[in-house]
Amino acid sequence: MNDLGPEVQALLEAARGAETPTRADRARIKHAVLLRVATVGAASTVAGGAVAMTLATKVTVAALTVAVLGGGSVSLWAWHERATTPPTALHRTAPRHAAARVAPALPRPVAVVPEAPVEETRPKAPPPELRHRDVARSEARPAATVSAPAVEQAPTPIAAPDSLDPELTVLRQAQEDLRAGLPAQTLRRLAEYDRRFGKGVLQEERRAIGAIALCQAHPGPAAQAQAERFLRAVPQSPLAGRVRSACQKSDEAAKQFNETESAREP
Amino acid sequence: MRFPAGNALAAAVLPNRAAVPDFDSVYEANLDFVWRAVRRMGVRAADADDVVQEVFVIVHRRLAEFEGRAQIKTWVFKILVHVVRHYWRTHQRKPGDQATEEPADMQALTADHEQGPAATLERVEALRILDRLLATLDEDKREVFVLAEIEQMTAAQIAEIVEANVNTVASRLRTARQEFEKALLRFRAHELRRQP
Repeated sequence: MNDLGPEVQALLEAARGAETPTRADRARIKHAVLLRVATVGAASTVAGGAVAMTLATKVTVAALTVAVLGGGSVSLWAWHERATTPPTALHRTAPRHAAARVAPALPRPVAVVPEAPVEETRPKAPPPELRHRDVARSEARPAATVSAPAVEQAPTPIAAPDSLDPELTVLRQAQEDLRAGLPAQTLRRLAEYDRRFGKGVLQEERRAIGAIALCQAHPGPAAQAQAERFLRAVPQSPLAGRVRSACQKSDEAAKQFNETESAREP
Repeated sequence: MRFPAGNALAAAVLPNRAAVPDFDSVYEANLDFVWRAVRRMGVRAADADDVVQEVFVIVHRRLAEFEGRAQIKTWVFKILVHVVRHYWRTHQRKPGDQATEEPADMQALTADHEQGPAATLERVEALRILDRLLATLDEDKREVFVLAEIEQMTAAQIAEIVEANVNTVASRLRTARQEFEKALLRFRAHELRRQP
């Protein structure tokens, strides 16, 4: 399906094989990803023995679930940390400026980091092997690495990535409205979310809150159908239990209402 | 007013799930194209690392939900498109605003390492021109063009990734090709004028 000229073809061909990450790049990015996952996983477990996280890998969901659907003190803790902890280098590796790119490659590839266990109840530093690798990395590429000292010193849990903040803010407001017993206002917030972010990264969380709000605002077939769609789409979501519970209650209330209405009929 | 009795939610069934691939294999199999596509889709070189990381953080946390309905590459690319769109929004910039003066990173051109510096320079220059021309396309067309012409995905795959129908994808691609060709002509004309 290609009718492009030869010069365009040549440009595209150049792009197809270009810019393959080096072995050092592969290791560095993977390390950063796993560090973020592990660190945020630890943060969520600290925040809530009460929060039933099925996966320690739930990065943004950890912060959002805790903040949005969790209990009071839990959510306050998570968001307090988010609001008061300045961004640290744990989030990210240094930009890949020229000095970093000409630095020697890592001497050995990084192994898989085990996921953060969920049974811990206290904040903890990243696993020892992570710290070890970070030190090795900082020795190999001093100009490119800013995260090693922070990892050594900072057991501070980190929440969601910065770039998700606008989405998180709207969803948090929606949940506050829901908690305040204002499901219609919640639905308006979610409409704002749709308008601003379309099918955003936190779509799963948006759908869960929407299903709960609809079950509260307009219990009935439409709300039930929306909840069912959510549960079918992401049955293993950590939010599934809450959606199921909220909509079951509304279903029972609707049944009770029907029975009352039937009893009144002559 | 009556609502249907019974709890239909109880009947919600788990879909049949294919075996979920492990993160390591997904990362190794997809890093190259994510790395490449992030740059071609208009993310600045200084931000590319963070955007690639964010894609894989989301892949990591969503992997358990992968249902095998699409190819894993398509699924990863869908996440990538969302993250890149978010990047554009949060940076208040469009892909066309990309600083085309940023030279392609020569160290990244590992494919040319064995071909010598001349080939590497040639490829760097080609990427510089390519990025400049891509920057003339709007967001929708650029996405489709990169997916089709560089990543060589099918129209059906692209339609799933960008959440549009196949006809829309075909139309965007057709227009993108025309605009890209015109941009190249303008670029060459401009280069000629600059020569003494």
